[in-house]
Amino acid sequence: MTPHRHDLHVLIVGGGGTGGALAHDLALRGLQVTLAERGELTSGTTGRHHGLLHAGGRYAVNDRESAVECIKENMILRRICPDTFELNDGLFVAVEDEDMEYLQPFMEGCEACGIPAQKLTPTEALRLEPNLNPALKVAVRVPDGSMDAMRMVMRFFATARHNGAIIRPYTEVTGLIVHNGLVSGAHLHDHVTDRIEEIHPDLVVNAAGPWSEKVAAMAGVSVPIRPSPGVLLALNARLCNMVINRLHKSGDGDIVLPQRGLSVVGTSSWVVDDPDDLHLPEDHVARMYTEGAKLIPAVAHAERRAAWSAVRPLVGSRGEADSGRELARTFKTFDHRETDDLEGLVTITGGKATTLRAMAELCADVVCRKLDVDEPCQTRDTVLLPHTAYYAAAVAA
Amino acid sequence: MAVIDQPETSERQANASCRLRIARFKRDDGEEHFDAFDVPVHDHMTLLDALEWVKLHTDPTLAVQHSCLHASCGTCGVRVNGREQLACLCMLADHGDEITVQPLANLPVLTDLVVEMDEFYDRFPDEHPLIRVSEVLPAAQPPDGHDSYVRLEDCIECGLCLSACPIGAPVTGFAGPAALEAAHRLLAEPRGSDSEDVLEWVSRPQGVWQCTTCMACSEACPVGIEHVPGIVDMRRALLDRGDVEPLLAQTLQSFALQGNSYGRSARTRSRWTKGLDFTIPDARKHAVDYVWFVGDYASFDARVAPESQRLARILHNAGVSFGLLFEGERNSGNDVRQVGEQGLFEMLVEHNLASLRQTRCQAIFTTDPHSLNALRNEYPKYGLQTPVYHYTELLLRLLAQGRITLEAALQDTRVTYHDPCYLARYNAITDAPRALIKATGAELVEMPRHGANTFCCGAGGGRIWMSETGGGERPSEQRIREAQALDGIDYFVVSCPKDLVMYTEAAQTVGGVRFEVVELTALLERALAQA
Repeated sequence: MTPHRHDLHVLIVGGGGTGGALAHDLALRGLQVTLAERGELTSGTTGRHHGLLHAGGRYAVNDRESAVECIKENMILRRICPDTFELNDGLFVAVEDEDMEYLQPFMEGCEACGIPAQKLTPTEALRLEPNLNPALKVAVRVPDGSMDAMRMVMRFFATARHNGAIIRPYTEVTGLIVHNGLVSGAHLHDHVTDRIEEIHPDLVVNAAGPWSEKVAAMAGVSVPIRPSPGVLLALNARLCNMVINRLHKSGDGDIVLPQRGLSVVGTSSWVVDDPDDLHLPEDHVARMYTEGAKLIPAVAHAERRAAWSAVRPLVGSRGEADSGRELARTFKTFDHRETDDLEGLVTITGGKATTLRAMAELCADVVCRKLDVDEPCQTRDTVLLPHTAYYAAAVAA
Repeated sequence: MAVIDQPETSERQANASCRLRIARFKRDDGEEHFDAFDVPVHDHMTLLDALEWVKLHTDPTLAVQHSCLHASCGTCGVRVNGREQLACLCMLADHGDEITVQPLANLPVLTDLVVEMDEFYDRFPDEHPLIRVSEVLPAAQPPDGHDSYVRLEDCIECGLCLSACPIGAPVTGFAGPAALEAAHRLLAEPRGSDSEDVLEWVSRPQGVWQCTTCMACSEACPVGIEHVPGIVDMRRALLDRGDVEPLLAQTLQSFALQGNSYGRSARTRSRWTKGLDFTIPDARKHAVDYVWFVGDYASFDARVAPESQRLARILHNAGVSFGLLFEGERNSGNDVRQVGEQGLFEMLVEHNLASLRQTRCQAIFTTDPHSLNALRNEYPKYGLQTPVYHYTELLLRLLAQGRITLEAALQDTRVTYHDPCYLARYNAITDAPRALIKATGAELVEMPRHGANTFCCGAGGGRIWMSETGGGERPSEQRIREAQALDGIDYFVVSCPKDLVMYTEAAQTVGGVRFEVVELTALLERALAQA
């Protein structure tokens, strides 16, 4: 366990990928960290995503900032999380004539963002992935991968815990204590003991993803967040080894990912006010079947294992978008002192699983600046402990 | 998983609700108790949806483990009416109006439905690779720069197998099915591990020898892992190295010499028939309709011999033409195969097939579910073509044909029935014994774990020939307690000779048991119409 170099204490609210990566980053910089998550770790958005390690291709045309973040972080995660990803690369596949119009901007975007992209003929693509739609027109290979959405993130929690962070799942932040323009503490409800507590950290970081608006509201401030759910469908058959994307602009059912013995088809997009109030529209599930089958025809008849909704924490103002598709996938840190004249609270939101480390770095820089800590980020080169280390009795002792 | 799409079902479900009885535990309260919640049910609703509904609308303090919602993370395992399931795959429509939800067994409960996984991971081998070579689409050519496609291992580390395992309690020290499967995968694809070390690890007292091969693990597994064949594989590898449990080594020697686990002379195999007032023909010399493959236990064990005699009388009185193989019968080899002694198994098969070739019969039946499994599922690979039945199937057929008649004589009797693993799980025979019990007029009260979800007696897979490893209550005793919790049971009915011995002993050990352990034929005899 790393001794704390500072007696400064940070409370992180939210045990998803962002919170886990932030706990890891701050623990490496020698801060005292407590992370409170109301449920199980990764039970909100993190565990539910399709498990894509993005190469950034999806954003290369319309959201280059996100695309660059993705490819950079993709390469870093490969290094710090060895033996975690199914690293089989991905294909962007054109299956209709109009898809071909997307090819040139796609190749240009990849080039501009530094995403390695290799154009393949239909014959070449079918040799790699025999289940592809045989009518495909062209395919582009990019360095996508797939992951176990929970276990990849558990490596951050495991390492953070080993470095002294206190990780508290089943501990709900029920209120923030605000005095004279300062967030001075938080009320916790520990669902393990059923005990109510108060905690008085030097700084609170709101890393609650789609729930960050709810957490901010506890301090009387708001964050421009659009909870944007999408439907995912898991099929009881592994139909491919590479990640198969549709070569056109982002749309419903434009990706089929292999994951263990399953294939996951995603996704749709709409916006909601309350991230807890998620529905599973069956017409969206049906669309996953029809759109997914355009990439891999066998999708149409594969057995449904599960369908579910997951909610993205997109950064954007209300009224700015109808479906969430128009919003950038990049991330943002808000120092509420700057936005609301409220000291002691920082919110990190937006982003995606692939960029969790970079989000944490950005946020930790803000935290350290505010707490006057001069320690550099070390997460780029710190190989993470395996997920099992989180559970190792040695840690608990 | 059933998908309920029919309009009439949807209509019915529009106003449907389900009562969840949920086990609760908070560290500061101490005691575990149950809370009931009524949850509105909609189409495709899973137990996990229902638990989340409770958290959102009724009790935010309910702690539930979950992450991915599609059975890929393995965190939402619970026991649903005593049966291990992932909450995200458990469709409410498959259950009745009330279901009981408990945390997994054999792991410490952190709170409510949440177990601590530390002890689960502690049981694993040191090496724990998640990524393996992909076997999917083997003809596909991986892209330049990749030797092969890779994928995540099948096991999602959910702990369902450990919870279902009859010897999974921490006190046994047993590594458990998931950890042994991980070791088996390492042997198949070492990924940097040393196979010698792995074999050493599985040969420990906590390793492969403890398994009863009851298959509760693969029955519970949400991703279809077959743990038992892997365990048998590893036992074979250990036997090949001469690395074998000491008492088992002794038993295997008896087999080699006498062809049975008792070390008795083959000529004494039919001694149990002496008490009968008729003779059973030698099927090798006389044409009969049925050959009775008796099995070691029912032949040699003094405690089971009366049961064998009773079945003989029932069949004789019904005018059934049946015969025995006498000294031509050897142990079927089922459990010899399961301990990993493939060579000895094949010797036994050859010997039994040679005897069977001397007979002319329509079918074989057996009183022993273990023999049934070998004869029905393994012997055909060596040439056996005759159909093989469990005696309960035969009796049910005789009943249907009117060759035996049962009167509903036991109307004021309440019984429970224990499904043998090798009958219910390995051969899906669960209806015939129940139909026979029903025909006696007795009321059948099911234990929470029944049918394919039965609980092991602890004797299978050669365990009965090995030293007890000690630690904790034996599976057979746990099972007796499960039956004790039922209201006013008169009989604990079994249909396997090993079960009769195991549960009679267990009932004595547990003590204060108000029911009697009986072989199914004992009930039948009392209900048989006197011709």
